[in-house]
Amino acid sequence: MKVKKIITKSCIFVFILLIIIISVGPLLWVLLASFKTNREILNGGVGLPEVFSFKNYSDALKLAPILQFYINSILAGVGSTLANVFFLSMAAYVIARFQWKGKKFFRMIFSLGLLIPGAALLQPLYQTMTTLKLHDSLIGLSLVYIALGLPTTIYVMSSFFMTIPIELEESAYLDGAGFFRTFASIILPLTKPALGTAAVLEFLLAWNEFQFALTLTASNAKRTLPIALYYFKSQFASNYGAMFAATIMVVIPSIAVYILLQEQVVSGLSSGAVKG
Amino acid sequence: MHQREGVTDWMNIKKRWLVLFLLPATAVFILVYAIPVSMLTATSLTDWIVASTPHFNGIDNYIRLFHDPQFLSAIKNTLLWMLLQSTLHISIGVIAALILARKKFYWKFVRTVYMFPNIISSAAIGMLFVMLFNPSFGFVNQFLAAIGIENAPNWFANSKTAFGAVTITWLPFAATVTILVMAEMTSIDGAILEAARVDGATEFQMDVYIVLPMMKNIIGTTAILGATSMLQKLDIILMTTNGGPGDLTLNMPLYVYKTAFTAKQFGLANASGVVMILMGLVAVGLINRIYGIGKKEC
Amino acid sequence: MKLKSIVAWSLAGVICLNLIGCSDGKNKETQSAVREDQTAENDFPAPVELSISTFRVGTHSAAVAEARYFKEFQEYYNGVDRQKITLKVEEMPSDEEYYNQMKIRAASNTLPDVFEGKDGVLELAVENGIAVDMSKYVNADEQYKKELGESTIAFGSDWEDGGLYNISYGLQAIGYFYNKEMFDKAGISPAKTWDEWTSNLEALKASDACKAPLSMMTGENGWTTNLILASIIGTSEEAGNRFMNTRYVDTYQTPEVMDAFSQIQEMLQEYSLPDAVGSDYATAANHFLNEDTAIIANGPWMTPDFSDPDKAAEGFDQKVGVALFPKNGAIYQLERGYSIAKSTKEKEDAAFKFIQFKTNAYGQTIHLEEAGVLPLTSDIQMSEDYKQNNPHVAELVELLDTIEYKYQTIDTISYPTAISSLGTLYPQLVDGSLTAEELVRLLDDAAAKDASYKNE
Repeated sequence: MKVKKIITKSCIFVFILLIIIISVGPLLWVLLASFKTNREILNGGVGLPEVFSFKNYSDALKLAPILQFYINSILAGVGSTLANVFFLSMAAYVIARFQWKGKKFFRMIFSLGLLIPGAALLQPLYQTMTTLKLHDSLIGLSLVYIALGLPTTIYVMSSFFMTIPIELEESAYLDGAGFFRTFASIILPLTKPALGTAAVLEFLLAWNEFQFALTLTASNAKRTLPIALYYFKSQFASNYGAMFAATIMVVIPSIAVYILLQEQVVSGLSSGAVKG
Repeated sequence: MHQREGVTDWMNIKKRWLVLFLLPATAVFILVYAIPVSMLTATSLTDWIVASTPHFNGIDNYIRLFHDPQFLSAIKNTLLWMLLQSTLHISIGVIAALILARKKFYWKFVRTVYMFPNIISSAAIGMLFVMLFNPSFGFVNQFLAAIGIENAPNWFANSKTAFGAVTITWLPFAATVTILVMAEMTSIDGAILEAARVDGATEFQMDVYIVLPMMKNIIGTTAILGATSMLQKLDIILMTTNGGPGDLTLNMPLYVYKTAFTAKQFGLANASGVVMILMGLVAVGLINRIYGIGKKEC
Repeated sequence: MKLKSIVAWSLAGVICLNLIGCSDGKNKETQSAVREDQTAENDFPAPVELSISTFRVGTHSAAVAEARYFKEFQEYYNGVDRQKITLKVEEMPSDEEYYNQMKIRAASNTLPDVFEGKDGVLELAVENGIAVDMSKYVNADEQYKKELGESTIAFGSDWEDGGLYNISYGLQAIGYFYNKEMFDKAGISPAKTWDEWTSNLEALKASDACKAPLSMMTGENGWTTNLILASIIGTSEEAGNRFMNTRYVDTYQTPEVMDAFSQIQEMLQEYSLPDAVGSDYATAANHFLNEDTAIIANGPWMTPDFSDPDKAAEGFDQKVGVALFPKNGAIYQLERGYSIAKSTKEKEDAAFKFIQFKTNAYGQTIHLEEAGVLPLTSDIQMSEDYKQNNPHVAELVELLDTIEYKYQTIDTISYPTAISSLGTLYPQLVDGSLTAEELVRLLDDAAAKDASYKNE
């Protein structure tokens, strides 16, 4: 018996260790690389840089309009996350909790979003947005981001909604609460873990998305951060050091947001059971 | 079943709320998905190439696709990856979730860092994988040489290892599975677990017989998310193998991309996109069946 | 259900909008142009705003030159001594993304006023009548015509209807660079024949002077490898040379090509580093700059790297020599250059002025001094200063007079689909799963997929 326990424990230990290595490894590597020269990076090597220089960071800021793009990314990221999570959990709510005609239809078409190849959407969306005069606008881009995260949010939220017992709503209505009040003040707070998770996934999507950002925006005044990363890679002259420095500058806010939103989720987890 | 009737009654009155709640989602859906997809489908029946005026040509494109060995290869690879992603990677994610849910001292830290690769943009991650697996100076081969394995292959460029190497690049998805499953775990009634513990059940038994079955919904959901993500994954393949060697790592999204942008055949590309969507629909339906998602537990 | 019908009607409505919007793009500008005409106060044409996209940003070697052009152009056409032309610049980092975007724009007929039509974009634009024939503009300006040179005009008129659809901005002449120290150690000098080329590689390998003789790559567009491939074909008598000077070859299944691929196969298997297969340009270049390899085929824009402390060790530039390929062959082709998208007359006129500004004698000088792009005619000479600071470019230019075989790059003569598939076929050629015969057959299949492929 004891042997079995030791084996299990060591397996778990190795498993967790591997997870930590493959999770922290990449970020650590990029961080170290951001202080190395191009030569050092291209010669491989996982060690510390020869000289800890911030040149890559200043180069990055000079070569690409990073600060300008930062603002746009924040606007698009926060905007689409808030809108996505709020409005779409509304839809997820009615799909998950109620029986009505056409529910299956809506369920199915909302999951359609997962199946549509982004590459095929580029041209039609470009045309649509141009016709609607939403080309080169953060609003147009945010709408696209809200839609890109639609299937995931609806899936996550409806899955969670289904675990909440019906009795809660019924008691609320018996108490005289309206539909929206019930949703907003009773049901929604219970779903904090799911909300936090959906928000994280949507924010990461909006923060890191490149193809649609490039296609649907044109002027630097509206461009987002992922586009900045491509300023460092041209056919014959790439500055990987600067690219990694820019990557770090892009990654830090998203890690911060992630940790913040995860606190929401974690508080739900630590409290253990939600009801009873 | 008094309670059931009460709900239905009330629900009829509030039908307008239903519509209202669905409206934003539907509007956004129409704008970004429905319209482009109709444009896609319509043009998939034409001979449209960049800058030309499209002419209707029926299902010619579809026939052409199925005679293209690369297209068939792309279908095969995509299906294989969908299978792997929805079984292998999901298992890793679920196991990690179960372990972390035991809340040993490290759980918060590991849960946080696990997502890190997903936070870094794919442009940088692609770069990273290329450098890691570089046969001359990459970390992987140097490590293997250090433990005695010489002449390790050129992972992304070798016909035998390319597919596997690309499969490894999907691993970060497991972290998403973990956070989703852990989020859902909060809805488990603590009392049940307590009762089981009192009865003498081990952690392992509780995981397998109580927790897992309750997670059926979310695991099924992640299976769908995983399988369908294989219909989107494109940038990492572009940066590491570009579909090669030959068409060994060519998947459907990449096929669509190449047909649209390299060959400039938009009509044909859209046809392959439609085929992909249909494939995905079948897959989603199947996974729904297997996991019985949407059916409530008593 | 009610919702379903709402959905259906909105769908129909927006599709209609799209179809209308498609053709509406250019008409709106006519109205505003007319309005502006009426408010013009002097004899110049009315002010115009040109839209232009560029990928020469960030780390691109010509980013500084490009920014300079935009600034100086707008200072020149400032509305005081001349018409006022403003530029609305859209930055498209990375050339590949630029061409992807051009395809999306071309598909909706919203190309920027001035565009570069590589990768098949111009072919389709000309075929569908959305590119402008510039001969009328060029013929009206004798001085400019002289500055462009006959070959530039012939190159830009190489279309079915003989119209001048693209004006080049520079010449690409490419040989190869080699590490003189390593060559000395191996006791060799730049090869005059392809047999000597191979024996040179053998000598380098045997001498231990380098980790591997060649800096090859098969990732991205296989640039350095394909330059050698082009040279083998391009110097193999008339047939080969003609092949390498055709725009869009229909088949690769010729003896010269198959033989060339066999030679490349050997070079990749025996004389390159293990990471050559699948490698991108940066890695291949770094191997040369880091003195892991002795030879790299590449153009003059690489020369600043030799003295860049970030990229190469101190004094490396002294060790680098320039050579033409065996049989005095070299890549010698004009860049595709700029084209004008069909639009209103005012915009087209202004667009031409921009192209002229960039490609006349002054423009060519800037290109040379700031971006190392060779000028269109020999009328533009390098200053002594430039020669001092760029000895390798000067050396290459001196060699140009001795070229016996001129040919284009594999990229230029191939359908884009063929080039793209070549990158994925190389690994199989190298690990033996494909023979040269099988490879060229697959290349033909890939070429046939291109939208511009003509089955004649």
